Amino acid sequence: MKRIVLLALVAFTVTVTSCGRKVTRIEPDKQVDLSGRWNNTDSRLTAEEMINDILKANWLVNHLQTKNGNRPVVICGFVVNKSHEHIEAETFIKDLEQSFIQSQRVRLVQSGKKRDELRAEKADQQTNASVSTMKKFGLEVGADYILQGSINSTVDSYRRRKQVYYQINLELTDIQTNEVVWIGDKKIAKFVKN
Amino acid sequence: MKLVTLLTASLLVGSMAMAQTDLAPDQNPRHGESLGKYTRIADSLNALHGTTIQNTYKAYDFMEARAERRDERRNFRRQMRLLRASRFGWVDAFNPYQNAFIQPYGIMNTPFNPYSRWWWR
Repeated sequence: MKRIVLLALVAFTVTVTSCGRKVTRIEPDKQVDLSGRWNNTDSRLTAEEMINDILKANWLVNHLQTKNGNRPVVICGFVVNKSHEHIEAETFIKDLEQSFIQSQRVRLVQSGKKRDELRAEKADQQTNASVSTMKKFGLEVGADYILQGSINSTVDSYRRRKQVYYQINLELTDIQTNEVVWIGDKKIAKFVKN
Repeated sequence: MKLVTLLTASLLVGSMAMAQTDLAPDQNPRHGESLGKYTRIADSLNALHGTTIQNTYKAYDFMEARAERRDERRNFRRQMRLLRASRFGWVDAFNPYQNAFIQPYGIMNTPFNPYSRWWWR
């Protein structure tokens, strides 16, 4: 009788533990494709391609030559997602910005709401901080270039098969002259069979 | 009067000369117009910096379209069941003339009407 109870207990434990949700940590660079939609692998591939391209392109050398070795200052503009999926470009734009800082070849200035927050903090300091530590208005670094981008996609599906094509474009434009000095692109094609 | 006109003219010429001296080589002398226009909208445009503007479209997907059709069908049947439960008599969704005989809950299908479903429940 005791043996039966023990066996039942073991069987129950095994059943309960095997039916529960299981979560495991995986490496962020491991390719996992579940639905065929845009995922972290696509974002990572885009970031790698763009980083390799932008830091090796001629615009950087040209700028250093014409500006007597002064590093270019870049501000990040907006990316328009015109694809069929919700894609957050910040995942690969941040990788790109990180590469600018780590390479020490490109300077980066803050943009958007974060810049507003900085200015608000500066404004707060005008009345609350000591005079010696108070930061002044009008001493920000002006950007030489703006980074903008777009994400486009096409979908071709028939019954259970689907082909999805993404094209991610990033453009670097000289703010003074409006001259586009660099265009990077990443093309991703997927075949999904349901 | 002549003196005032002379003074005004000299001020105007002086300011224009100053504006000319502020120009960079080859700079458009009417750049001020553009500056005025974009200064007004700069805040709203610059707030989008560093963000992704979601301007997505709906792509046709065979499997998704089938699932949507199925959901729509189920939802319609559910709505019909609810309608039949709340009204007196049978509701035929595909008969346009039946609407004349369907009475809302408040008029026919009340406990005070001996022909309502309340009576024989």
